[in-house]
Amino acid sequence: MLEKLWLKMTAIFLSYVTVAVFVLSTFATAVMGYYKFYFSSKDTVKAEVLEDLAADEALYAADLFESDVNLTKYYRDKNVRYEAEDIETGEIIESNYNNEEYIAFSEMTDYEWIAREQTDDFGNVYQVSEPVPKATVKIYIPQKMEKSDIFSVTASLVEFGYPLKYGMIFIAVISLALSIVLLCYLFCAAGHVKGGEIKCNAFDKLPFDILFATVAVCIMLGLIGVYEMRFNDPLTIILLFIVGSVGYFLGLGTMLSFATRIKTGTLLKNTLIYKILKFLFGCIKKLWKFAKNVISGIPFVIKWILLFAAFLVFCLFSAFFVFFIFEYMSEFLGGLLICGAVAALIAAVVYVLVILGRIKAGSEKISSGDLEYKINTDYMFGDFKSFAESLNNISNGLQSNINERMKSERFKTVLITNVSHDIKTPLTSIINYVDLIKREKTDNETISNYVDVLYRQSSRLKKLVEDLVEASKASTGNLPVNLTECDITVLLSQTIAEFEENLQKSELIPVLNVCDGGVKVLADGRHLWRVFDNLMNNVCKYALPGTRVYIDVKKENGKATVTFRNISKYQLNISADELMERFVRGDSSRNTEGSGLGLSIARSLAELQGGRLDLAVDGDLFKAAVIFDAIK
Amino acid sequence: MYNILICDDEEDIVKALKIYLEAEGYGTVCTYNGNEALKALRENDLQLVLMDIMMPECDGITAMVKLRETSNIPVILLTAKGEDTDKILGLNVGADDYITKPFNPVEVIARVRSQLRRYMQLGGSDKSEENLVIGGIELNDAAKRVKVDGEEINLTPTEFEILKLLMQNEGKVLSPKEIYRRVWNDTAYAAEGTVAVHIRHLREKIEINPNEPRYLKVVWAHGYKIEKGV
Repeated sequence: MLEKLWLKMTAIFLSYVTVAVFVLSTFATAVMGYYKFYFSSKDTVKAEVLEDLAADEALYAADLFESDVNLTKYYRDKNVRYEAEDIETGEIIESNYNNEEYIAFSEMTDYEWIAREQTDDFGNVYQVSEPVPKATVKIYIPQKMEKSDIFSVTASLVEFGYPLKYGMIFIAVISLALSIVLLCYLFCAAGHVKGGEIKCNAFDKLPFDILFATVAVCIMLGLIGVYEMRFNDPLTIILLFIVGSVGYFLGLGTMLSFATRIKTGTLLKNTLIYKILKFLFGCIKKLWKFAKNVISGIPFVIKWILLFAAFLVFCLFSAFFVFFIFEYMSEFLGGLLICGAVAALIAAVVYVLVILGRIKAGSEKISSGDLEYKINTDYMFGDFKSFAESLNNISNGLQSNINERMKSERFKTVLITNVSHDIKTPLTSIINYVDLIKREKTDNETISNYVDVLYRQSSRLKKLVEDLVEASKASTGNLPVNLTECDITVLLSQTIAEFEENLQKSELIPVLNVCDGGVKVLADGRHLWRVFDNLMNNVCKYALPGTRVYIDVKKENGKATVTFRNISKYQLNISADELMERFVRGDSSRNTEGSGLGLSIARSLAELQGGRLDLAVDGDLFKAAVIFDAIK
Repeated sequence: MYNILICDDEEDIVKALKIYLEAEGYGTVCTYNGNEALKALRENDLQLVLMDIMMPECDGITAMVKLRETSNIPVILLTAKGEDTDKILGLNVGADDYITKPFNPVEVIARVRSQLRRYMQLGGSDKSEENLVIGGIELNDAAKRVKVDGEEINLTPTEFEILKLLMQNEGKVLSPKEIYRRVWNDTAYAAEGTVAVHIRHLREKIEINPNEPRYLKVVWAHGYKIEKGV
């Protein structure tokens, strides 16, 4: 129903008719209300209406009389009787009134302008003219109207209209209701085309603001044109009708187009203002992009120099204002401007400092190993933001790298543990059967020598496998660590006691140098023992027999240091760093027992507990220092 | 003659153990997984079990749990892993001792002998009031005698006093200074070394493997304690 074109056209036409009827009936009702149709009888209304006309006519007649127009001739074809009476004498000057019955009566005084001389307070003489009543013009509208003129038409209109006075209200209401229904239908149907779609027609594609303005101006011009004309002219009525009709159709079309546009959502977009704004916005956007490109293309330093130059120019400008323009106006205003500039500078400096502080704190955190830390980039812009983001990205990259490495290290540890288990089983058999062979009595000395080699080497293999597992666990931190308060002096005495026999066997003399009072550190006793164990094992293996081994415990600057010093049995022609590497041993020939993992394990374990192991080689002097944070 | 059950999936290891144990005069029954071990336990008169943890079909831990439902026979676990968690698990399900692979045959024999002595003499020791007993250690204060798993051990008077002090404070960690003060009745001054050396000797006398003590434990950087258990 919303799509049928003929239905719409019919509705438009019908709405035009109903609206016209509504306008006319309302107008008629208003006029009838004005002339008291609803409160007085028909004759009274008629008399009153005709009296109004008679008053107009009297005014006109007085004018005519003044201009010495022959009134009898003028009123020959009209239903008007008149009488002109001299005021001074009371005699009738002119008349065509024969004492007939009349409905309406009106009179008007005719004045004559008489000039006379007058003297003001300064004795100047000047002329004034003032009206002097001359005659009274009386107008009678007779009961019987023989001629056709405005009075007879008015009278018959009242005759015709009076019985319709209530009917008119009814018609107005009905036509209003019909109009509303039709208009509602039209608004609903606006834009609907065949197929249930809502589409804009050519009319709807005109920019709405242009359309609206054009239609509004047309209607206004038409109304003004009509208003300028005289009303009782029949041509005016026709013109009014034409203007009203055209205005109605234009207005209706615009409103229907408005409805269609709302439905299709093109109301705001399809306006000239919107298009202009959009164009302007696009221009600004392009300009901004261009400016941004230019700015980002400027090297860092020059950018900031330009910024400061701009600030300087602003300062000079404000200074100029203060000293040359505001000098006479307000010193306060100028001062305010300068204060504002200084405040802006201070704010900018504070902002930069705060941002730099944030970046500094973040970079320190990241460089100290806290890769989880992210610099907060809120309220940062430009170079600062990109700087902070780069730092965050570095830490991200490092973090994923480290995670990856941790994963592979852990995998390696698991692999080593499993492999070592698989090695241990056959190794057990080897060791046991070598032992069994050793127990067999044999006179063949060569065989017993060979068996000794087998025994020694299989024992070394056992030690190597054990150390390998421990080294991989310690270096990947795959060990549980329970940090407690540990007394280093106690641990050292325990260690020396454990190595008593070994030291004697290696002909070494331990010299302990312990500072007064216990030295306590935060460590895991078992792991710390393993550190000392490895270092002492090293001493026993590689120290020159018959020398002294110095073990010092010191507490300095909040650090507890345990130093092992010994003279090497072999010439140490490798650096301390290389000694710490896995599988590197003091003797490059690798003939002695030991896995070459001892120092590496010791260092990993020390680091696992938050400590450090430093090595130093000075000629034949080998020095190992275990350093922990001392606690009181 | 005691009969010992050997259980390991490695035939060579089983054979080697068999040779060692038979050389010491023990009878042996050889099995190669947990199920066989449980079956052998039902069919034979056995006094001790030597069992590996990692075995196919029925592993050592599972076999331990089943075995302990019916028997309190001493069990020594053989483990190749050497992980602390494995040891603790093994001991928790009821093993009496453990030996890590690759093992020293002498140590195996010593542990077997020790377990058998304790098992066979259980309840036979005199538990008079002056006797302090922790695990296999018996200390008679009046006679100044110490027995470990029923075997008498010679201790010097200082070692005896230290052992007594530690046994009186079972499970408690005593620092070298405190031990010195209470044993020597003197203020400790640089006494840690002296105490440490004595304890080292004491440990060598009462432990089978002083590097893996069953009773006298070193609490590194703190002191020493005696603990019941393996």
